Amino acid sequence: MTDDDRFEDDVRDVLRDLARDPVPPSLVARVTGIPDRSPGPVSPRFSLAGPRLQWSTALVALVVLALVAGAFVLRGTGPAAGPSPSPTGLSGIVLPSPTPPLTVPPSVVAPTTSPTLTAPPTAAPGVAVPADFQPRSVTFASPTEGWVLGSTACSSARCAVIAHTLDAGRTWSRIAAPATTVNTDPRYPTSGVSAIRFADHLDGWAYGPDLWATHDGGSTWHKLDVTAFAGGPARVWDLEAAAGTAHLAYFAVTPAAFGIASTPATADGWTSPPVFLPVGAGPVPQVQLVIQGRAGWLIQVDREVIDGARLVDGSWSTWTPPCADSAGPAVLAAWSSTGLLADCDLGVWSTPQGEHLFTSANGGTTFKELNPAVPLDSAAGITTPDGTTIVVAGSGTGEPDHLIASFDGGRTWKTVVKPGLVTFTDLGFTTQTQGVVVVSTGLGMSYLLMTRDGGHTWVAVTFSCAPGMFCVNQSS
Amino acid sequence: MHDAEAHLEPVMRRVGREDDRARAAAFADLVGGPALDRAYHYAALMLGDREAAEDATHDAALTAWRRFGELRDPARFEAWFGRILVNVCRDRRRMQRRQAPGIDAQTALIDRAHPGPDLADDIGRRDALTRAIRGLSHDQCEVIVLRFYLDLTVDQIAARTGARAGTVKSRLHYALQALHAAIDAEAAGGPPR
Repeated sequence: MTDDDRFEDDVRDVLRDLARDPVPPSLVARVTGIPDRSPGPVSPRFSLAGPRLQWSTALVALVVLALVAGAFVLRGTGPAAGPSPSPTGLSGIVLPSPTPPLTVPPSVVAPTTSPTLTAPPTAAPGVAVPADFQPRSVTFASPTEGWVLGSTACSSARCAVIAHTLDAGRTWSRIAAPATTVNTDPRYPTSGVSAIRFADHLDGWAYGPDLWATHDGGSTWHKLDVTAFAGGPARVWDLEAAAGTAHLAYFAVTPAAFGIASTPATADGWTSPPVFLPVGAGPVPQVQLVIQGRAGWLIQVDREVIDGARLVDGSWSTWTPPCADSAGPAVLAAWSSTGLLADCDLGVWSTPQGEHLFTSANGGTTFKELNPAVPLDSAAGITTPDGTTIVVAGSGTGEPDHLIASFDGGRTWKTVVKPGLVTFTDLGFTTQTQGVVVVSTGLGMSYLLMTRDGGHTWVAVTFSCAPGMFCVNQSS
Repeated sequence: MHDAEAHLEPVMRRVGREDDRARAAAFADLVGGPALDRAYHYAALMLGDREAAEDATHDAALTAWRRFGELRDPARFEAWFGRILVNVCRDRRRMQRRQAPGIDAQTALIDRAHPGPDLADDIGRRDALTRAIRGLSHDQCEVIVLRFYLDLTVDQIAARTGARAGTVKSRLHYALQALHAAIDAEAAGGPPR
């Protein structure tokens, strides 16, 4: 045996040592259950191995569709049927050019299903997003596939509409949505949904305060009974999914406390561990749930940080969050199962000291303060893809709300979006470079902003752009 | 007939039929067997993180199911599925580019509770080799794992990665050279990669 042979054997041994842990049972269940949950394989007649004639026919059809649709978009200068985002008024955001509205073909309009609500038509994939679509919440299950929960006008409220992309937000089509209303705040309404999350291509949820689920990529939705795992009336407040498991935080009415529930993403098997966070003494209780892989954190803020819970090795237990004695609120972000970042508004209810960042490298056991302070008066959200690029949404003294970003771990900051008096929701990164945030004005208008350069620039996404058409998103 | 082919024979018969349930059962048999074990460990070695490996394997399996109609020869399922997985891992590793790539530091810890005097040198050498593999580029790590963990031939690696056989040979050569150099540098007291 030569030295080279021995060296190669060493490499083999090392690789086998590294790969000796068994396949997780959860993965076996997820993978072998795919045929039960997926719509099924694509018909062989469209496969690459299929007859060439059918491929060429499909190609010709696509080209014709693209030409017709492109001509429609490029020619269209007519007025929109409903309200559309104004290209002015939001400084710092690159807004899309308006595109003409597209009507939903009657053939795909489904009957309404709710006796008390005139729900919008349930649409088949490939249908254009309504022109008056107002985004409310966004989720991406991969760099290319994402969903946006939004609303459109219906009989008496804003009804849920879901937009779906398979090309990282460049084109969108409307898919089926829960037959319910969309809220702007999950705390006060007694029904409807306010946010959306997907764990993977198939399994997703719309929630706040109700809970709806899909296990077929959004083709069908069903409402879940929250009282079944909360033990009584409850409202779903926050929900995140990762590593094949979904977790949610709910507010139980009696006794008033926040609880947690978890389920395998592929099923509706919600169970609630005996971990409860009694509401604080302040008037505005709220919680934030952060999940990274199999690690997670829940923080309750009621004017100031109250308490929290932590997910370690699949189990939730109570946890003392950062800045618990700082007389101010905090928001969290995680970039790994151990890397955690907290933006704390120190002393806002005693002696204000401003916004400060704290970082943990051990999953929230200990924190270290980063200097200098964050140049904001209050922070509404924070995200980081790696602990070095950090984006914070908030406002300064006498200044409108804006996004600021640091690209050196919090040492220096610059304003990247300054849209005015708005609310930021679902600020987050999908990849190192691709991120999202929903911006809502007080006038019922909202926008989805996306960054594709790691947070340096943010561009408003247009939704009324069907696959096959040229849209402004494609050039961004 | 090889053992693997004998195992696949009843599966192949089911795939040959157009019945949806048989097709689903065939897929579950194929993806849930030894192919899943190798796929998960390939992803774990490439991504260096068990959770990322689990998600990547699931995503590849879902893609495989959606494209199951393209598979003409179920006996070639693992090679076909492996190509999908290679691409999923490439995409995911591109996403985690700025994080420490490949070979999880936790999984890399060889049991050193009671190394014993004769094993100390061996453990040190294996630790150094682990660090050296972690330092490889994605393309080099890919060919090393495919060649020395999955025991694929150069032609099989070429088919799985879409590279030419000559390119695979070249990558293997330079990857092994890089590993040698890293080991030698550590032995000489240089900084670990």
